[in-house]
Amino acid sequence: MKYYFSLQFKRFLRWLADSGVPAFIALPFLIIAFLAASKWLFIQTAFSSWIYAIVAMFVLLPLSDQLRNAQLKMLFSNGQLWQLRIIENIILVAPFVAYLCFEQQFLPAAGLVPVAALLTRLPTNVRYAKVFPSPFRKFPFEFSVGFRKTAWVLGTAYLLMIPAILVVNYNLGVFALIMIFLTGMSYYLKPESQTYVWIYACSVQNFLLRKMATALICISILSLPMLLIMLMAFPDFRLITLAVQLLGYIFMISVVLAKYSAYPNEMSIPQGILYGVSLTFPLLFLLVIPLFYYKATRKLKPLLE
Amino acid sequence: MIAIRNLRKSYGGKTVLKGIDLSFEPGFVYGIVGQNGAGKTTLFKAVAGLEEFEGAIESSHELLKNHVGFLETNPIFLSRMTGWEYLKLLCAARNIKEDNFEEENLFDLPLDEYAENYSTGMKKKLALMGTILQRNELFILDEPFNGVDIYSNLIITKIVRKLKAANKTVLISSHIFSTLSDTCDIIHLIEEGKVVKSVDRDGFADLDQEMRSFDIGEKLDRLSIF
Repeated sequence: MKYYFSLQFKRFLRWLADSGVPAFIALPFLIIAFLAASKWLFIQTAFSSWIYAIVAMFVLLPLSDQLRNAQLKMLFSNGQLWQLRIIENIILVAPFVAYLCFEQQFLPAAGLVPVAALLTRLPTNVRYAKVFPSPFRKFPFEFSVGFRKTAWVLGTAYLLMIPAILVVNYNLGVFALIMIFLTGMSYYLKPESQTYVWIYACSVQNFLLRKMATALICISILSLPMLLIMLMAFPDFRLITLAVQLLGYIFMISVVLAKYSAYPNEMSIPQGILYGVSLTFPLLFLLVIPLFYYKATRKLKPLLE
Repeated sequence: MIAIRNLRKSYGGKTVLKGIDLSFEPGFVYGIVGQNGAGKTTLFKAVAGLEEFEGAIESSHELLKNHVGFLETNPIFLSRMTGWEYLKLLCAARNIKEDNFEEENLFDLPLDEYAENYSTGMKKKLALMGTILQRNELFILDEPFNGVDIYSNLIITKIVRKLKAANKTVLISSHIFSTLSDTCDIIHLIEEGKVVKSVDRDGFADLDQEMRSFDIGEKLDRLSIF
C-alpha cells in the first residue's frame, strides 16, 4: 500500500512535468491558488463553509470512477482496498478540512471526514445500461454525451429559476444562467482520442468552425429558454442579461479553442492559468482567442491536413 | 495506387520502422504479419496519417487520410455515446448525410444502446461498420479478427472479399494466419521495423510453416511459477 501511494505521488509529479511547469514552482503555486480561492469564497457569502464542503466532496468523486475501482479491486484484497480508498479520500479532503478549521468552521470540518470515508462506499459498478435521451443526438458528440452526464446539473439550474422569480432575486437567476454555460464549457475540458479528430475530412479552419458552430447551437438550445424567462422576469436588467449571454458565447468559443490549442494533451497549467485569468477579465479574450486559435491550428494540422 | 517509400519512424531514440518500401493496388487485399512490436500498427498509423514519419507515402488522392477507414485493434468509444451516434459522427465527419443505419446493420448491433457497453466483438463490428459507411477507398484493419466469434469472423472475411470486389484496397494484420490466407492476395512479413519477406498465395503455406517454427528455446526454463 505504501508503494501505491508513492506511485500516485510520482504520477502527480509526472503530470506536473507534462503540464510544462517544474514541480518546485507548481507545488507552491497550487497551494497559494488553493488558499486564495478559499479566501475568495469565504468573502463572498455566508453559506461559504457549506459550499466549500460540497466542493470538497466533488473533488473526491473522480476517485470513485468505476474503471479505476475495478482495477484496484483486482490488485488489492477487499480489506486493503477499503483502507486504501479511505486513506486517499482523507488525504484529498485534508486541505479543505484544515482551511475550514482555520476559518473556525468546525462543524462542516468535522462532518467532512466521515463523509469522505463514506464516499468510498459509493456504488462503482454502475453500468449505464438505460440510454438517457439527449436532444443533441444529431450533434455528436460533446453535447450529446455531456448532456447525459450533467442533466441533473442543468435541471438544477432551471429549478433555481423558480425561487429566483418568486423572491425576485436577479443574482440567483444570473447564477443559474452562468451555471448552464459553465456546464456546457465543461464538455470541452477533456481531449478526445486522436481518431475522433482524424476522421474529419476538412481543413483545420473548417474543423474549428464546425466545432465552434456546434457548441454555439447546442448551448443556445440549452440557454435560450432560460434567457427568455430572465428577460421577461427581470425587464429592468435586460441589458445585463443579454451581456451575460453574449459573454457566455465568447466563453464557449474560447473553451473550444483552448481545448484544441493543447491537443492531444489536456490544457497545461500555464494555459489553464491564462484561461482562468481571462474568465475573470473577459477583455483579455481579445488577445487569448486569436492566440488559442493559432495554437489550435498548429496542433491540428498534422492530423487533418 | 499507394506507394510507400523509405518510411521511417522513431520514438525518441527507438527506431520502430527502418525504411519500409511497399505499394498497394486497388482491388487487392494485403496482409501484414509480424510479432508484437514488429511495427505493424505504427506502419498502419503512418499510412492512415495518424503518425508523423520520415519518407513518403504517395497516392492518387490529394489527401489520402480522407479516404482511409482505420479499424483499430481496440476501438475507443466515448462514455455514454450510442452506437447510432458513433455512426452518425463518422458519417458527419465525412459530410455524408446518413441517418438510417438499420439497413447496413449486418451484425444486428443494438445501435440505440451505449457503445461502451458492447462486448469486444460488438465494438469491433460497430467500428468496422462505421468505416464502411464512410465510403473509403483504403481500409486498414488492425487485428479485425481478435475477439470476434466464429460467425462474425466469417462475416468479416466475406466483407473483406466484397471490398476487394468493389476495387477497394484492404490492409489487414492478424496473428491468425488462416484468416489472412483466406482473404489476402499478398502477405508481407515485418520483423524489427523492416519488410523481410513478401509472398503471394503460392508462398502462403511456406510462410505459415516458417512462422510456426519459431522457438522460444531455453528462455522458458528461466520462468519460475510459484
